[in-house]
Amino acid sequence: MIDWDRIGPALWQSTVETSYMVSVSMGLSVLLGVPLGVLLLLTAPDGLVPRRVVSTVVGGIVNAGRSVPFIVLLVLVAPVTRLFTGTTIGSTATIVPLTIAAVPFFARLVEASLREVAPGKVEAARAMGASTGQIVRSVLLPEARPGLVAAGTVTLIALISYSAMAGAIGGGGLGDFAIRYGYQRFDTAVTLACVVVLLVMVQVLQSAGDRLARRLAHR
Amino acid sequence: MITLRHIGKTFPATRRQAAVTALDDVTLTVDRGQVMGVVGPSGSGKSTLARIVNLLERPTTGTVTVDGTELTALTSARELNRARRGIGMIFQQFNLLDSRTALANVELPLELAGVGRAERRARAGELLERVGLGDKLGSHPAQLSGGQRQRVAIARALAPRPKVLLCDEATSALDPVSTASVLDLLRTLTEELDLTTVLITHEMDVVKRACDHVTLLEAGRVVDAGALGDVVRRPHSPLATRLLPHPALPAGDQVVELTVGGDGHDAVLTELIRRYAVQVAVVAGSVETLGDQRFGRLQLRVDGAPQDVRAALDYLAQSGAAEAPADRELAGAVA
Repeated sequence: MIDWDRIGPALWQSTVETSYMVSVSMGLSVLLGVPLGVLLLLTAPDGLVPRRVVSTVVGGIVNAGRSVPFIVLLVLVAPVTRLFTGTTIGSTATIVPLTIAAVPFFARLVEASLREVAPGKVEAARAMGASTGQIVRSVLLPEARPGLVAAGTVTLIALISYSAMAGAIGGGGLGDFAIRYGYQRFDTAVTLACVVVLLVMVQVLQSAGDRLARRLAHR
Repeated sequence: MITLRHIGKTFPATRRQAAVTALDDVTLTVDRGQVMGVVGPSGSGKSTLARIVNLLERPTTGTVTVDGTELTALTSARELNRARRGIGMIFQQFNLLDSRTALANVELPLELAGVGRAERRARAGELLERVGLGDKLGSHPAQLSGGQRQRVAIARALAPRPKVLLCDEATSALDPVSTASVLDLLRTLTEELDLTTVLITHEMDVVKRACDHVTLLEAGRVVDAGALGDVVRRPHSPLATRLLPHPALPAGDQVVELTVGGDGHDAVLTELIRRYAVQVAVVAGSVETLGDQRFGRLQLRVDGAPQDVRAALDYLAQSGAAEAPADRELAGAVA
């Protein structure tokens, strides 16, 4: 039998921590990932402002960021984490590696979504005398909105699973709770409770994301 | 209004294909108020030509001048963007923004030009009304038919009050009824708004319905060009044959071919019969409406006394309407 009086408050606390980590790093990922995705698209050889060097260097960094397994990245960026937050333990500290992992991931998805916008629409805007900045703001981003929302949903869910992984090195949140109480103290009820909460989170976010993307797509 | 001088365009070789010369020494002038049709088979370079007028594609050689500004001489992107606002463009695939309503689509070019919201709204609403979509302001492109979408695109192209309108295969994705109504709309708007229009198409019917001038491109070169009425009267020019086909000729007849219609040539046939003691039989003929004029190409057999037939044929030759096929004996048979 699950002893809710014992688990309840800690479970709630962990859920709040996970939500905090994921939402802050998601916010940062959008802030950094969208411009990065736009940059990747524009500077590509077939982009509006082809810049071979920029495209190769930025693309290389993004690929490097994506090729490091998250659990390794956690350890690898520990000095950066300490620089920003003064510690490597706890949910605030975990935001740094989460963001570093999610930005390149999201940037590639943003680039792919923007690439889906029919080239004719960009051409029409150029014919109207739109500058590159205006094309990005008035054509590419608004037209790619359904794809961007879908990309955001995928990233958000990846962040939830990453954040749980960060629990392995004391990152706080549901993963941390499951490992310390569920795994290390053989309290299967805790593990199960954490899994259920994560499952519900993912389901709710995915269907909300799908619904929003559908509403934005005027097809 | 539009002058292209010695335009050449070569696309450099890529990994997949060798260098392609799309246009080769094309010189073309479109005067104010004209509707110029540019026709040619696919791959003839006509779409490249349209994209060169507003410099979406930069020519390899030659100069582009629109409304007195030499676009090829503009060096800053800002100047070029300003010049492009004076040139509207519509496309085969409409290229409307799916995320915006019809009204917001028409507002877009005004937004880009920094026009205030209230003025934008009013102008966009007025234009949609003008193209017959006054009741569709709030519809998204997905809710509109192909013909309606192209009307929105036309309204959008006209929003910044351009002097030139480029139409790149604007009716090729439309059904015949929508095609006809869109072409008629383009023609009316050209007149009412004092536009100069370039209509790129592979369909001769589009030229017949909407244009007053025509240029034929083949393999990147201008093969034939002129006002519609002039071109059809050069019976063996490539365009005349396409605009007004030579009627099929019954075997064994000796005939003279006559092009009638347009301005001033209507009376030729009447005069011929009235003045000369000959019998005239129409053995074959075809009639076409070009722009708002009707033209016919008739093949006649002229019979009578040899001297009368000779005189009649001389008259026809002088009138400028007749030209006998070069390979055929031009003579009337004696009855």
